[in-house]
Amino acid sequence: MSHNTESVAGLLDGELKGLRLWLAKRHISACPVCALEYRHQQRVRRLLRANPTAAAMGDSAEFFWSKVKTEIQRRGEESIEVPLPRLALADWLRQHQFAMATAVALVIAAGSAVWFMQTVRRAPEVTASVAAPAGFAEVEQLKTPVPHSAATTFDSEDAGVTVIWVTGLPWTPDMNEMKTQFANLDT
Amino acid sequence: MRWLMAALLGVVLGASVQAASIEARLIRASNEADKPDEQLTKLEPKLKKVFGYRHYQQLGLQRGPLKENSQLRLDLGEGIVIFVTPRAEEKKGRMMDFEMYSGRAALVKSSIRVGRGELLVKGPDVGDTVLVVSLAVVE
Repeated sequence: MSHNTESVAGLLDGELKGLRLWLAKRHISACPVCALEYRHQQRVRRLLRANPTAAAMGDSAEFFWSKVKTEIQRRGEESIEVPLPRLALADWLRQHQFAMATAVALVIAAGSAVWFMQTVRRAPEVTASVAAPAGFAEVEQLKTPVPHSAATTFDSEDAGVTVIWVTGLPWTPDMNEMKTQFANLDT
Repeated sequence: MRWLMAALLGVVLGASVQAASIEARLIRASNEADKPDEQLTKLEPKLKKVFGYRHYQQLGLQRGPLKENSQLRLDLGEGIVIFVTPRAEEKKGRMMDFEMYSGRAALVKSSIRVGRGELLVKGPDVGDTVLVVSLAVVE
């Protein structure tokens, strides 16, 4: 530690704390120059405490206060702007360290939550590669032995059924005629 | 006690090997203004969507157990007869041969794999109506 009279003064005034206090004490105990300075400043302080300077005023106390009263009465209701001390941003932050740390943590947590939600939304939807169980019948072979007739098959998704649609069958006017005609139709 | 156990076992085994059955209906679709057929309450909405007629009447209903490689004959009435021969049961459904006759005339011959849904077969046109056969496997 280098010779530093401010450190000696700080030690005497009780301003040093922790590591700085320890370092200062160690240096003074080892350095004769600083030890001499320490003792000198200690003596000066002792003398100052023993002989305080008395405050001297030109006016007596009663006259001084009467002047203050007169001034107050003279100004009356006049409003006076009292400048308020303003804290610098750094000082304000230093005073509200805990609140700042909490606010920063909340902002980080909120940002992480938003990012996570967006990531989840953007995740591709996994569609099952396995086909859902079929509710429709599957027609593998289809024949219409009746001459000039044909059949086709389709799935009616709206109705949820499979349909075999036969066309070209002979039209008959009624059920009896149908039975007669088809009874004689040899396929 | 032994007889009771044997009877219980028989019931359990019978239930487990209970064969599925097939249910076939002959339906007449028309535009007649008539009361809906209560026997077709569940099927009518589907029939309307496919065929578009206003009224559906059940002319015949037949059920029969499905036995592999055993042909099942179902007479639905009005000369319409269907033959169903189950082949193999697969994951997707039951494979079966299906034939629909009107009298001696084979109208349709098909190999189908029936799942949970119905199969509708549009048959001959009779007057202003059309005959439809519905087929469903009942487990």
